[in-house]
Amino acid sequence: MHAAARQLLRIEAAGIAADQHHRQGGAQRAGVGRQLQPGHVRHGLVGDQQVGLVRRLRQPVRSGLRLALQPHAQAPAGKALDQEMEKLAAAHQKQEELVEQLRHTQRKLEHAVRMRDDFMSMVSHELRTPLNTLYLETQLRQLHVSKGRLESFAAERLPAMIERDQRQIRNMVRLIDDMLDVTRMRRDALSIQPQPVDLAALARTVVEGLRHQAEAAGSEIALEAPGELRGVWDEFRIEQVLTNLLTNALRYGGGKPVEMVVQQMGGTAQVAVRDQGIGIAPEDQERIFKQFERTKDSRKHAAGLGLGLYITHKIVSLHGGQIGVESAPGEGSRFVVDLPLEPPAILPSST
Amino acid sequence: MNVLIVDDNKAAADLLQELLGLFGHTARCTYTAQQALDTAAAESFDAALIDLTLPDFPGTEVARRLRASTTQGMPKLLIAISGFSAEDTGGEAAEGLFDHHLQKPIDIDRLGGLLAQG
Repeated sequence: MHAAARQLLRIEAAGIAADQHHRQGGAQRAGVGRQLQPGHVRHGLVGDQQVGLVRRLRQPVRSGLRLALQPHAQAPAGKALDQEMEKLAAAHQKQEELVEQLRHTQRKLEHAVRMRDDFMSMVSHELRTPLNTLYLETQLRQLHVSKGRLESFAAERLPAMIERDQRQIRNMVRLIDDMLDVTRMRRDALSIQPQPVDLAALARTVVEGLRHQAEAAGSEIALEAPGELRGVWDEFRIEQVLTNLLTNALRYGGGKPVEMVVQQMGGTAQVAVRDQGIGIAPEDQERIFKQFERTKDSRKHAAGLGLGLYITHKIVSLHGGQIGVESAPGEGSRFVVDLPLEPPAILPSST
Repeated sequence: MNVLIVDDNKAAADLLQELLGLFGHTARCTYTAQQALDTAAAESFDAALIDLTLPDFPGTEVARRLRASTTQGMPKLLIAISGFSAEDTGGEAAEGLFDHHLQKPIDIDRLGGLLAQG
């Protein structure tokens, strides 16, 4: 794990430890409060014992209790004692509430740490894939050099070699960008800059850009789009949406043809991407768009369904649009994005 | 040694094949779990390098089926490859499913050493 991530985790973990300390302290206090019977007070739960109590009580519930537990040289009887007991009971209840609040905060913090942990683990896993390919390349070249096999570096082989390296580097850059996007979304800081765009032309560019990747996946991308489909969108972000959907289709498409249909339907532009691959189980169909949260199990089954669709979903929402999926295991998936031709005047928040 | 490779990252699988060739081994590349199982059933292998994340089903399942198979010539030495560490993936190696776990990026000398040990 990255040093920075470890640092973050340490900070959060320290926060939780502090909360735990409070909570335990709170429970102790509550227990002590319960044991206080009138008799005990009269016979003097005073002196060291009580001072200790006061000290322990000081932190979260300073006001009422401290007053209630001041040592009394002459313990008042009757009405005064009743009043004191009432104060104690009220303080006790306040403690219980505080304890519950602390428990709630603790659960939230633990959840946040778990999410960050999962996120870091996922990002580093994803980064290791292109890194692995690059590292294997360099090790291979090193072996060629050490064996004097310089024909591997012949001029005609170099362009392909450079292209392979660049593809891995692009993959890593994209992953890092995705990671930063997700971080921005969490802070609610991802914004779009809508400009007039021809979606049909953009789709053609994206499909062309993925030609090599499609070849490697053994799939062909068929694009059906009108000559022109103009609207007002953030071109860079919509390109990201199209790329994510097509990349997923190639990744999970089982080497079968992938189809993208771009069309206008009234005031909406629709992009549908269909593959004929492994499909998505009904119970996962909602989860894949939601805030990034992966189980160990899902990691083992498939790489990648972590960032891309989450980001895609957010970008589409920011444009006032919708994304959905129709799928069944083994029968491929069809992702449909509906984008209003112009984003709403007041942009929805990315949360 | 004859080594079966299964990794859905085609570039990485092909590179491993070439590297193992330089180490004096022979290797066959497969890119899906099913392809790996079909190839293992048809040919004889000494070892298998199995990526844990495959498109059709998990690498652990490939290992489980290879171990359970009674067909002759199934690979005896199973090495897991993953972007996750062995601890992160729940320690399949410790369960005895795999003999070794290599976290990406793969160090070819380390892999060569594991294969040489047999």
